[in-house]
Amino acid sequence: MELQQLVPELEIRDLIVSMHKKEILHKINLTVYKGEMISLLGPSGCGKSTLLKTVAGLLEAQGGDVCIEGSSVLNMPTEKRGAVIVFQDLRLFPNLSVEGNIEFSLRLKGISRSQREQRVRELLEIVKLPGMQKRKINELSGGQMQRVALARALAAQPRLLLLDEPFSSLDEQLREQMRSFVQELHQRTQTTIVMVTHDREEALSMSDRIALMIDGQIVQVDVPEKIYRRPINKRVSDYFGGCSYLSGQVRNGVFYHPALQMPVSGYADGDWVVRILPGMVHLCEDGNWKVTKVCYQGESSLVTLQREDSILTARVMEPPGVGKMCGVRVDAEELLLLKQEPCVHTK
Amino acid sequence: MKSKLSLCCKGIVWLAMFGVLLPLIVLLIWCFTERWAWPELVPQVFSLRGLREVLGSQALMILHSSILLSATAALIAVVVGLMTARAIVFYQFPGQKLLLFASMLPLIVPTTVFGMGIHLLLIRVGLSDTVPGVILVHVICALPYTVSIMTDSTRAIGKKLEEQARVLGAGSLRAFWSVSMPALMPAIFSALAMAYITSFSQYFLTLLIGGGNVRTFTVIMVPYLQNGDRTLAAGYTTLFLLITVLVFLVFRKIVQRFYPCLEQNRE
Repeated sequence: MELQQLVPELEIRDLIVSMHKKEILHKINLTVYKGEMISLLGPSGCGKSTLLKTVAGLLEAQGGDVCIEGSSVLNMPTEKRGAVIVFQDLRLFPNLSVEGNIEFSLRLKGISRSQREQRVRELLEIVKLPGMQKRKINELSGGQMQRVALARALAAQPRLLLLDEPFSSLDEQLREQMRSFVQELHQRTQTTIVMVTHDREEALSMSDRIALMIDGQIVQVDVPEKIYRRPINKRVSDYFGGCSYLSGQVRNGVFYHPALQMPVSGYADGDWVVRILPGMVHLCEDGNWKVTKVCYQGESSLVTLQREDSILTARVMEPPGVGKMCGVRVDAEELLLLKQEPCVHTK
Repeated sequence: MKSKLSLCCKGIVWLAMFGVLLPLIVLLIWCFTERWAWPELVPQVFSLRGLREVLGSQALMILHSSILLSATAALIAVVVGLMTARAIVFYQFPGQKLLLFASMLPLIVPTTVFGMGIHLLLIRVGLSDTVPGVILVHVICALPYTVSIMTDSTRAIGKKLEEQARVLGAGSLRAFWSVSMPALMPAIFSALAMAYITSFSQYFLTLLIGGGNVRTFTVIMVPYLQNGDRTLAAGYTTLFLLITVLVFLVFRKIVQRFYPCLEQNRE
């Protein structure tokens, strides 16, 4: 989708948030552009939801600034910021019907009854729940409640739509449907969306950009392909997982490892770790890599190979048997060198 | 096995109902009884003397002001209880646990001790022998019930719904009124009922603080109960019960009028 001339919608500058005397967010800097869908990705407890709540005004910041459409909102009350959160637990109002929930923000604005009814009808059409105005919340399925929550958020005409792990409580099939639905909604309404998730596939498939958060800091912000293929450091690489590392040395523009030697440019001499994605590894007939594990994953399989202390993972269509000896060829153009850290094999 | 268990449970329920209803039935019979000596199962002499005396007494004349006084005390106790509950549940401040403990003191401190102490204080501030002074004392007595009921329900409901209402554009007061209040209504009704009955049945404190100037139904009723006339005692007690039940029904109607979801949620 097109970012509307890269106009910043949300700017977070050096944001510090503490809770119970413990600093949760450490000088967060992030810019979200108008019409963009950005994912805040990271492990549980890294501060993603805290960041969302601070932007919405539900938590106080101890330092830094939050600007929406160029104006600082830190001293603005929650209800005036125009940042609407759809929480993981949806928080539909049980005392109101579907119509009552959706028109909640419209009533606050003093909109007439006929206009509210019209708007509720339109929104229910958008979320594909036509005619369900009078239904009670406890009569809805999980997916229906999700869509009512989204319709309620859209009724408020938010400047920012903040989704806090919106699909985590849904089963796999429903999650797929809702992801497509939200993407479609985003394309249709062009609302700026910030989505919190710990699901890597979700972030990679849905977002214009991903902001990876670890331990209360934003480590890397980039488009999905770059953040996956060119992680800025090993922490980011480890988060996405599914890759292999070979520890070696760079000397005079060449990377040396007992199993792998290749020319590299732009890397200083010293200890480095080469990151190899499963798709870069191709198996040959003869060699001295032993197949130690085969993990069937439907259309392809993940094969783990070992040679002395080195471990590689390859994605193949037709896996060899466990115990077979193979040769390995690696696509050198795609390889990435990261600074030396303890050699780990990630799943 | 299941049917035996079900029968046993039904038996316990019936026994419990019988235990509650039997004294009420006996009370009702005593209202129309002149003489009912032990060990007779049926009264020997019936009469309407008790009813005539009760209905013609001054107790009826002050009924409406009595109800108004207790309703006011109940309302204030619930408002204070609700605010205290929100402070305890949603905020962290020094002395929080002390506050919670202090709200339970009226249950721990003997009424006479409390009454003597507060009487002196109210004399100093000029509230002794006045209706506001009596209401204040009734509110203090009702606070343990309202604070504990409202704290438990506030904790159960939390502030998630209010947060959602705030991000949708509602101010803090509107958010509370629109989403938390309906959820709290059953607890508010319970707290109101407990506070009302605590106030309406207060005798010693009303007499002490009111100094005879503030006369409630209970203050008028108790001397009649103490003179040993069971017929009169039964009449006044039945009237007391009827008034209480009527007031509860009025509270419930008012709540249902503004929050029809109260009944729907029960379904």
